[in-house]
Amino acid sequence: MKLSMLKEALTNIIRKPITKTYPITKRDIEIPELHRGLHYVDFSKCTGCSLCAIDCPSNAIQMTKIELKLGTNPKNLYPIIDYEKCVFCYHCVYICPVKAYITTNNFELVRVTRNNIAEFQYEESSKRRDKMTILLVISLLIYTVSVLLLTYIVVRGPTVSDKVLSADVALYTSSVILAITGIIIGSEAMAICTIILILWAYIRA
Amino acid sequence: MSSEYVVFILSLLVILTAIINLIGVLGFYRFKNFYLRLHAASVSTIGGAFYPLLVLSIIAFIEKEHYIGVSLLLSAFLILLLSPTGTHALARATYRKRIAIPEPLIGDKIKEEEASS
Repeated sequence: MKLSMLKEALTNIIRKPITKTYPITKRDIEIPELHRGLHYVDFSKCTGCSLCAIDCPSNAIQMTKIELKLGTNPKNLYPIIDYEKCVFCYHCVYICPVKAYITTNNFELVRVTRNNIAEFQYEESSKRRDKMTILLVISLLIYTVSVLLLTYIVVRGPTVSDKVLSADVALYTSSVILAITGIIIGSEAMAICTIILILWAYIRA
Repeated sequence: MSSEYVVFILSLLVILTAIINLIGVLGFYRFKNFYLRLHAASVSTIGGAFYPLLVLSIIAFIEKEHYIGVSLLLSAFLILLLSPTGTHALARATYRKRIAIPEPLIGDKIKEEEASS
């Protein structure tokens, strides 16, 4: 009897746990496409009219001030949905005059950390930019490689004219690097720096 | 949602121009003659600096950052003006001073014209 118990214990050490750590490993469930799941606002379309907040039956939507400077929203008022109050009736989606609400069939309200679930909306609206930034970062890497190769020629080129030529090209490519980083960060100072760099190349010539 | 796809395609184009730039820079290492290297330089300035700046300015206009868009358009225009004049001046100076020797020489039109006139 005791030996068989020991065998059971030993096999349980090796065996995978039957329970799953839910939010990390997800089960395969087929969700119908029209399932009313978490919905969020495309901040670049929202005009801040707050019709959705007025219409919401459970008062789950709060218009909060976020300084995003997207241009479409003069008051900088954006709807933030409290999913713990939300009953997923989708009144806000149907009433929106600019169709800013993006609907998903994602039903998972669970988070690993105890942060407010409203952060989901920030994450989703920032994902739109993520694709672009990944591609731009790849091109940044290629540009930096080419600038490094050019600087090698600037240091030890065969003739003087070669050095001057490669220095010119290096300046132009580094201006493109500045422009790409400016777009990723979204700062105007970087873009002005590109003009200054090109003007410097002109003065040098 | 359609603007998202446009931005995605445009940023793919930026990667393409980066690859063109890398090809132009590799030309610096592979070509044996200074005047051939001039060609590589013009490829990597127009294909690798002028076009991406245009594309990036379009991206900036779509993302509603108008200051960045205008400044990038300006800088692209400046490169379009400056890079051909710069390379021309360099080629002329090196030819006059005879710093670079064109090694696999097929023909020298300038010398022939000067001899005839």
